[in-house]
Amino acid sequence: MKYSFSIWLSGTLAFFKKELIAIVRQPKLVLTLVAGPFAILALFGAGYKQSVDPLTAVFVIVDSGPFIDELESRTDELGDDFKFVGTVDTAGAALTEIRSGRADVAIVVPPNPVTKVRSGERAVFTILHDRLDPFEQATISLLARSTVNEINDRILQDLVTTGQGESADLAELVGETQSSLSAMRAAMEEGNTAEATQRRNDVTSSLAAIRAETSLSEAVATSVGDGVGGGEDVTTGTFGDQLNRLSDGLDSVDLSESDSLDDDIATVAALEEDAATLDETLTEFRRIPPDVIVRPLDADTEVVSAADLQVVDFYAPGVIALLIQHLGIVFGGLSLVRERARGTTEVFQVAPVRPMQILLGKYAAYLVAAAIVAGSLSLLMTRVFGVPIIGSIWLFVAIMTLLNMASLGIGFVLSSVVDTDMQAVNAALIMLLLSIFFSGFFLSLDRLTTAVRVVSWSLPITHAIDSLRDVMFRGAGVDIRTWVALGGGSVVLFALAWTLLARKLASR
Amino acid sequence: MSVDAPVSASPVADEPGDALMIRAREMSRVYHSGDGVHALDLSIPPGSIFGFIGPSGSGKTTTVRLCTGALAPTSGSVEVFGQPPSTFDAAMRSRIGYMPQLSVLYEDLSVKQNLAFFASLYGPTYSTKQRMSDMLEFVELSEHSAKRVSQTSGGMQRRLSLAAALVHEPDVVFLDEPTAGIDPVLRKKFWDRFRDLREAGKTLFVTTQYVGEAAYCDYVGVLADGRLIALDTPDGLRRLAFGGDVVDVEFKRLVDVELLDEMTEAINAASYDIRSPRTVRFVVDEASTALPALTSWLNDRSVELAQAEEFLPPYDDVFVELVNRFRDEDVGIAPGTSGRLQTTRPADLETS
Repeated sequence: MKYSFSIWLSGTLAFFKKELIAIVRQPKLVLTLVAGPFAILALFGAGYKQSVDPLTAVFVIVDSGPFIDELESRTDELGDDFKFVGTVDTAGAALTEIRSGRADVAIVVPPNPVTKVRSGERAVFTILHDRLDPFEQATISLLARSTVNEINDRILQDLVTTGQGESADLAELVGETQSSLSAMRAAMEEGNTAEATQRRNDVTSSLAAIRAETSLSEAVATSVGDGVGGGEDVTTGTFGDQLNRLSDGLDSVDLSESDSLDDDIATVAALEEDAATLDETLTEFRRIPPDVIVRPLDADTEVVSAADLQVVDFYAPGVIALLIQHLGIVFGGLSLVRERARGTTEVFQVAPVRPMQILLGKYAAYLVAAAIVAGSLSLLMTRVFGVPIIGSIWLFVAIMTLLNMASLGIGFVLSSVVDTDMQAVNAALIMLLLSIFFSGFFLSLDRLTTAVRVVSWSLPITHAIDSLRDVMFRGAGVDIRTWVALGGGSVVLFALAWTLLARKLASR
Repeated sequence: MSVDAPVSASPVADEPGDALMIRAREMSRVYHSGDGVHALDLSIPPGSIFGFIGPSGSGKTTTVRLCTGALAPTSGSVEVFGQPPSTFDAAMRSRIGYMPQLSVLYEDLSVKQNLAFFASLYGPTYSTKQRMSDMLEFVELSEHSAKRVSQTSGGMQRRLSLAAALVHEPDVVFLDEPTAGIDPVLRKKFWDRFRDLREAGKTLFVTTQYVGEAAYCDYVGVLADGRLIALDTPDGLRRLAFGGDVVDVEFKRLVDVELLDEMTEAINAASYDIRSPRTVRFVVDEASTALPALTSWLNDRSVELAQAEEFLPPYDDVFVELVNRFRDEDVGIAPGTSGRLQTTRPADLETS
């Protein structure tokens, strides 16, 4: 008998049909593959909370004092992250509360915090907890810092409010300064040196009073100038600068020297303008709300991608990709191992069967099976969950197909090196774990070191998930790197699987 | 029983290679453990049934794998169709049928789907509806064609495996313990099929643990501990085991040993064995000539005979005798003469 293409095709199709029938004969398997991930995502979507419950907190307060009383009275202002549930007086008692589950954290208030601040040191609040999860530990640290910042802001805000109240008196003094300067200039123009000197003394007194009362307000006003103006105004300067300029200008006026009278009058006129500016600064200071002064800058984020995503949406492509990869690896991995265990490999060695026929037939069957599963799952996700596919559906299909091919390649290569189906299943599980941790499925690759990222990008699924998210949620295309990684990887893995299978089937 | 005849192959004619279907010369395949087969010489003519008998682990399957090309010999050579099987291309492989010892069927597939799968490996010609139908009828599985293999009995699965091995009409078929684990009625049917195939000109290489099946073969090789300890026709094997034909003589009265010694010399018997006070078993060169001579000699001496007839020892006994002698005496077939068969046309052979 002459070996012809029709014989070759017949053999290849035999494997295709055989594998497909074997899968179709297991409706429970197909149902599980579609319904399983869908149910998991549905449960995840239904159960996921956008915000976490506030952590229950006890304060550990060793001593008492006005600040402590104030703190206890304002626990409801701790923010949304902590919920105050009580006070204890020792760290041991706090740990008991935590271990019994009555409190998530204990906030240890430092002894004499006000004294510490006045001595120029920060008063450190220590947060105690017993969480094991590193992510939870980081979250608690973050929440603690955020809450302390919030408390600091409130303290500053209270001070600014007080300062603004006091600034009414300042405004009156500045008004008096302006009036005295105007009267001084008028007396100088009239040649009434005695009156001018009297008014000058009035200005000096007013400025001294302003300095005495605004030591705090000046600091606040300075920060306002820095924060709002983006830097010091070169013409007016800060509140303190303006006060200094007034004092210096006044000192430069020599009322006993008649030769420089015209210059002195001009100087006083300039000082009048400075006093007006000072008045404007104070007015502005009182006008700005205290929280703006304390926190002059804020941040807002806006998602510029085309899709408005829910958490389930974000994870959907990863779930489908993981399923497809796992299917491919398990199908491929078990396929040849089971042929060997059944003894059919021995028949293939004797029959006119070529490794290429076996691989092509099996690849095609598994591709079809996986396509049906992935298609069904994608349909459910888009129709039931409303997961968007903004970009090209064909790119979506192409990425899935290439991922499936690459995964089958991994499976067939594994199948050629393991001895039992148990080893194949274990290898598939290890690949699944590897993919979950390093593919960017739930952990951003930015959190991995460069060396480990090499592992990540060597996994076909990493490229697939990245591209699927781009296509589905950004409406973007697929970059050349993905085509090369998935397409090239599929070809290389197929070639490797083919080589290994050929060696297995060769006469030994 | 005392038999002095050496364990050896029957005299054979050395045929040119191209007249043989399978030829192995000093073929060995030794595994790391030291097990395997050692220096096998086989010459199997076309259109014959070659039975390969041996206990479990004796090397039967290894020999089959060497002949199919699944394994390569570590030393020596093997040729099928005059060519090493490990060098076969697809066309040559299509001329071989192989039924492994264990079931290689797919349990999720139906009987017909399994058969169609194996047939398709050899081309679309063999997977036609008519062909499937014929093959299923041949193995009496037509009524069960839609059943999944997992729902069929062991016997049905063996029949289906046989059909899968034969579906592409191979010239030579290797059947590794095809009758293992199936009932005697079905075994008989299998051997009927094998003889039909032989009549159709096919060559069958059949391994078996059922020694009695040697009777169905044209030639039988006996394998023990990886070595071919005997190779002959079934009758020849029996003679080989006992040193000649066996004749049982029953006397009407007791006879003395002197008479037996004289009688042995008179009929040219190789030996005798007293089985009971009145029954003696003689090993003779040819039973057909020895029996008349024996009757005449006893008549001349007025010794009354109750019965005298040729005894055909069961093949189980033949096999045990051969293996025990091999193991006890470490006697093998003399190199250069072993394992070659007379290439008498099988159709001319009488099988039991």
